[in-house]
Amino acid sequence: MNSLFTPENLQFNYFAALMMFFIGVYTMAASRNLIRLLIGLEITSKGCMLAFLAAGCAAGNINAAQALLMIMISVEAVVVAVGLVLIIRAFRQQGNIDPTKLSGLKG
Amino acid sequence: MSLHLFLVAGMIICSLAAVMAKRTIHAAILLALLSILLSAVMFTANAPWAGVFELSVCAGLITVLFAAAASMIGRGESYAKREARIFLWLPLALLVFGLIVWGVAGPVFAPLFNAVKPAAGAGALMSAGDIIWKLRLPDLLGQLCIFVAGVLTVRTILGEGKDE
Repeated sequence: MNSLFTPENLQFNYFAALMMFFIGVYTMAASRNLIRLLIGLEITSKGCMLAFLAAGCAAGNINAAQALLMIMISVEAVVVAVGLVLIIRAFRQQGNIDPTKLSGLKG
Repeated sequence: MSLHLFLVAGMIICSLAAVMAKRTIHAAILLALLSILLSAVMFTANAPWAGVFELSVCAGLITVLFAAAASMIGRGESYAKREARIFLWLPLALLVFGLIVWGVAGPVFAPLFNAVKPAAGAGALMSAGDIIWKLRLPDLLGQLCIFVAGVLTVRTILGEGKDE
């Protein structure tokens, strides 16, 4: 029982990562709130991080996984910062954060 | 039952709660909790550097950014009714997806998981710092470019707002 629920067990960790990936993708597909959409993106990337970590543990090379995770986290922070600034800008211009109503660039 | 099971189950529950929260600020706080749980998983998996990064950047900085954006916009509630209706189906969809993945995809891919062997390449015995500076230097340069692009984008977009 215990061997299934360890960081080294790929099957369990990939399953959990896929569940989080599904929650994130569902949110990005269904939500009409741009901030919630970014939260969905964050959850998706957290699922990917868990999969990376499990792969590093299973391969016995956690330091390589760690190095990639650090790069991933910093890129994620930049993506969120730029995304939030774009959302605030869109809200100031259009008055809402519903992606279906942002038609400022429509030809 | 192991600690890892509780941490991972907590992560999935926090993800669900974050997307189903009615107010954006609550969603941001639950996302921070998710980051804290992920950093705990990293610590238990002997990845302390990544854990510290996750804790400070994702649970700290990104939460502050989300909270600031939510307070600046302050209209998350207007979409709450429609959002709540859509996300009512998410736990059921997740359950069906989980059953399919665990029952069908799991046994199919199990031989692949069992075939993973410990790494024996150049990076197998190196420290995380050596891997970043010696093996992943192109990634660092790309990361630097992304930082500069991000800072310039934020500055340009916020600057445009001031002009108007």
